[in-house]
Order: sequence, then C-alpha cells, then structure tokens
Amino acid sequence: MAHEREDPSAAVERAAALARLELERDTRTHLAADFGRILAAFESLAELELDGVEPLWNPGVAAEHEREDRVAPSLERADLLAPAPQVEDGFFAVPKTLGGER
Amino acid sequence: MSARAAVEAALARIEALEGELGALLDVDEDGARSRADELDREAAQGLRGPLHGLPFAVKSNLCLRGRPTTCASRVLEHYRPPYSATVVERLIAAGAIPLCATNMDEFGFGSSGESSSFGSTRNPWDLTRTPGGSSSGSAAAVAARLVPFALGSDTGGSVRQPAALCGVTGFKPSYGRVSRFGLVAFASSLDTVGVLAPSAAEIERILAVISGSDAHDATCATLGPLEPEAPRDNLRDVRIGVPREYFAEGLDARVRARVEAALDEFRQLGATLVPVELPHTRHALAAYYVVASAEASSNLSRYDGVRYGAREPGDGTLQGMIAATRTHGFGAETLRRVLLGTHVLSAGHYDAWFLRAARARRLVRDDFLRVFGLVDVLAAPTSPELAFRLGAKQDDALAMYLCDALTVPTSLAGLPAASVPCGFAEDDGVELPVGLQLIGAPLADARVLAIARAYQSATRHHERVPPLAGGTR
Repeated sequence: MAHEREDPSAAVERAAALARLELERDTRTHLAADFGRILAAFESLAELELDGVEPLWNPGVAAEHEREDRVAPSLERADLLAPAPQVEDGFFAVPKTLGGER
Repeated sequence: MSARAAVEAALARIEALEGELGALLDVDEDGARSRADELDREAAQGLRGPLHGLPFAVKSNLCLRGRPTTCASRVLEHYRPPYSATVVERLIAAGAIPLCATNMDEFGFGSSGESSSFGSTRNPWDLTRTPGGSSSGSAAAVAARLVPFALGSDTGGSVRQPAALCGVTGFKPSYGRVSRFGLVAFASSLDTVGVLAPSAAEIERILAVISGSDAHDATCATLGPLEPEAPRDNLRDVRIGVPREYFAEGLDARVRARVEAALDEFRQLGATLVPVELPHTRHALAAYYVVASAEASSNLSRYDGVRYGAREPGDGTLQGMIAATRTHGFGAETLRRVLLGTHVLSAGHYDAWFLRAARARRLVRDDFLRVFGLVDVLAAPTSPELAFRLGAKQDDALAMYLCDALTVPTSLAGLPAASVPCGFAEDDGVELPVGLQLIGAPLADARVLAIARAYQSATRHHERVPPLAGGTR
C-alpha cells in the first residue's frame, strides 16, 4: 500500500503543530496510541482497486446554485463584533504578531 | 390547547424530568412564553400557521439568535449568534416555538453524548445508558416527551442512531434538501439538518416547513418544500431491498431478530422483500472517518480566539493565544478528530488517505445507485447494538466509531434515511428500543417518510413511552 508507516507519536506531534494545538505529554501519548489503532483499522482502504475511480467530493444529489452578484443587506457590524473577546475601533483585535507590548 | 398552555405543559415536563436526563443546555422560558402569548393573540384573529403553538427543541449546533449556541464545547461556551438558522426561522414563521437547546457530543463528534463538555445525557429508558449521539439531547427530549419534536443534525448517523436507541423516529434528509444556513459546520460534504419526533407523520409536517431552497445556502437544492405523499394502507407496490452486508458480523443477535420480525411486518403489509448486495459497505466506515475528520479539521480552524467568545492568552503572542485557546477549548474527542483530519490532509499523506477515501466514497455511492434501479427503499438495522452503558466505550475511540457502521454509508452517498422504532429487546432485565433504518434513493425523501408512515399506521412500536416519562410496560 502507498502508506508510508509513520511512527504515531511523530504523526501526532506533526499534526498538532499544523493544527495549532499544544498537547501535554500524557495527552500526546494517549492520542498516539489511538492514532495507531485507528489508522491500522482504516488500512482496509488500501485493499481497494481505485484506478480510474474519480473522487467524490460531495454527494451531489442536487444541483448547487449561485446567487446574483449584487449587494444585499447583511448583518450589522456591531452584532458580528459582539461575541469577540477583544474589539478595537470596530475591528476584531488580536495580540501583536511581532514582539512588544500588546 | 392554547400555545401558552402547550409551552407551560412542556416546561412542567422539563421541570419534572430534566434533572434526571441532562438533555438540555438552555431553556428560554421567557422567550417561549412571550412568543406563545403572541401566537394566541394571532389565533384569536384567525391567524394560525401549520405548526401553530408547537414547542420544539433545537440541537445546540443550530443558531438561535441571542441564545447560547455552544455545540456543547467550551470554545463556544459564551457564544450567542447574531442570527438564527434558516430552519429555525421557518419553524418560527410556521407558528412553532423554540423552547430549549439540546445537549450533544461536542461539535457532533461522538455516538453516545459523552463527549459533551457539559455532562452526558442519559437514556430515558434506562438512566445508566447512553441515548446515542450526537443528537443525544434531542432524542432523549423527544423520547421523554419534553417537547413534541426536536431538530438534530446528521453527519454520519447523529439523528438516526440516537433515535434508534431512544425509541423515537428520526429522519436525515437528502444532502441539500434542507438548508444548513446557521448550522455550525462539522463536515460540509456530509452535514444535514434532521428531525426527531414520535412518528413519521409528524416529521412530514415539519419537513414540509423546513425543506426547500434557501438563498443563504448555495448547497441547498433549488426545489420547493417537501410534499408528503398520500397515505397508503398497504405497501403492495413497494419493493424493499434488504442489504446482506448490514446483517453481518458485529450485529447484536437481539437487534437482528427484532429487525427481521419488522421485515415480516413489511411483508404482511404487501411489500416485496428483495435481497441486495452493497459490496463496498465494509470500506464505508474508514472512508467516512477520513473524509469527515479532514473536513472537520478545516472547519474547526475558525476557533482561533478571535471571533467567538473564548480566548486563552497563552504566552501573550498571537500564535500562543491561538494554540492555548484551541487546546483548552476542545475536548478529547475533538482533539482526536482535528489531529486525524490534519494528518490525512497533510503533505505526504493526502493521496494515501484523503484522496483514497474520496474515491472509495464514489464506490459506496455507486453501490446504492445500482440497487435503487431494482428497489424503492432499503431496510436495515440503524444501530448494530442496543443502548450501551455510559462509560462502556469511553476509552475506546475505535469501538465508538463502530457504532456508526450502518449509518455512515448513507451519509457518504447523501441519501435520505429514517430510523423508525421497530420493537424492543431485553438487556439485563431492561427493555430497550430497536430502530429500523429505511434508506431512499437520492431526493426520495417523501417516499421514505410515506413508507415509514404506512409501517407506523399498521404497528404500535412508536407509541411506547419510557416508564420514566409516564409510559407503561
């Protein structure tokens, strides 16, 4: 099968970095054990003869539609900002991306 | 009964039973009372919508303007959406009254309700057992008759499996038949909004209100609302396929016996049973978990501490804040899915996992399309087992995933499917409900519901109420 077997701990560590998660060592160990078992159980996909089979990205039972490209009323800015933990001058605010005080 | 009286009756049921069930995360007493009074004034002037005065429950991943819409996650604990889901708006416009938000597996990740960050819901038939998931609170609330119906969502079985385990009727529409605007996304190519109620007849009335195209959801089919089929007193012109793969190893013998007895009931109604084969079924679970986790990992990237309430400062940097918010905000199963999804999408693994799963998905779908040339619907068990004890699978993610083995193929193919109560089986001295799944061809939602209704006109399994909620054995 095409799967290169990666050590589950390394796979979890790599995925955690990509997904912006900081896992404690215990959690990482526990998840790595699950990861190994789950991926092994899913190896059955490797048995399938898939040459020439087009991927199905969504079930496509009904035609999707597009709406006209026209300005229409939408939600109020203040309502959208209301749930934000930090707002400044009508914008979502975040910590500084490069050093210094916030 | 006035709308106000219906709301008061529901509130009294909630007061009496919710403490034991843990089915709800929010009850909007004031809002429901004031809406009921408004409806009663309208009724006095002769104005009544098709669902006039019916209180309902909303799964906590469907937006309800100004009310907690938490997805049972810490990361959305304080989120109040500035708009309501299209399905909720349509129900309100038809005279129904949103009364409460239901407990669920966090973001829909689970089959037992136990991954809720706010405590597990208990099964009204036996409080030591799971109601199923992820629409755990919606199923328990309907089973205990707290509300006449509830909205759920079904990505891989999250309406059908809890409906089966709680002894209520659950319906997952065709992909694209019901708007998802205002449904918090889990897996966008699989998510559907579904309905749980005591019977298929009630679900038809609700579907007729919530289905149909929506300018806010480009994935919603440009079709009108569902039109229920005429009632039928027999099924003489109906061919029901019985897929061999759904009765294979792993199916509880008691569930099998009860489902086979239900197939006999269909035969007595005049239906022709046709054995069929869906050979790629055994690959569906893997394909589903790869695709669903991948899509979930993308969808959940939006919880970054910027827009939806929760924020953990971390080390004070932007990246540190994002990581701390996500790590503290997500429960264990959510972490597992996000990691799995990120892995199968990552460089070096995409072709072997995500692309393969998407190809396998086509084979699963094509199996169904082939048999729907021969039969009208398929009948199969909904869940491979009876409601299990809370905690029984909590440390075994793979065992939990297997709960979905009989519901995910339909989801991959985007087909409509109902779970109808088809009898009871005993476990440890307790009688527990069994669900039968009826699966339809693409967009044959009305056909599935009509066949379910005909079955329920001839049988009484769906009328049984748990003893806790006033039912008798």
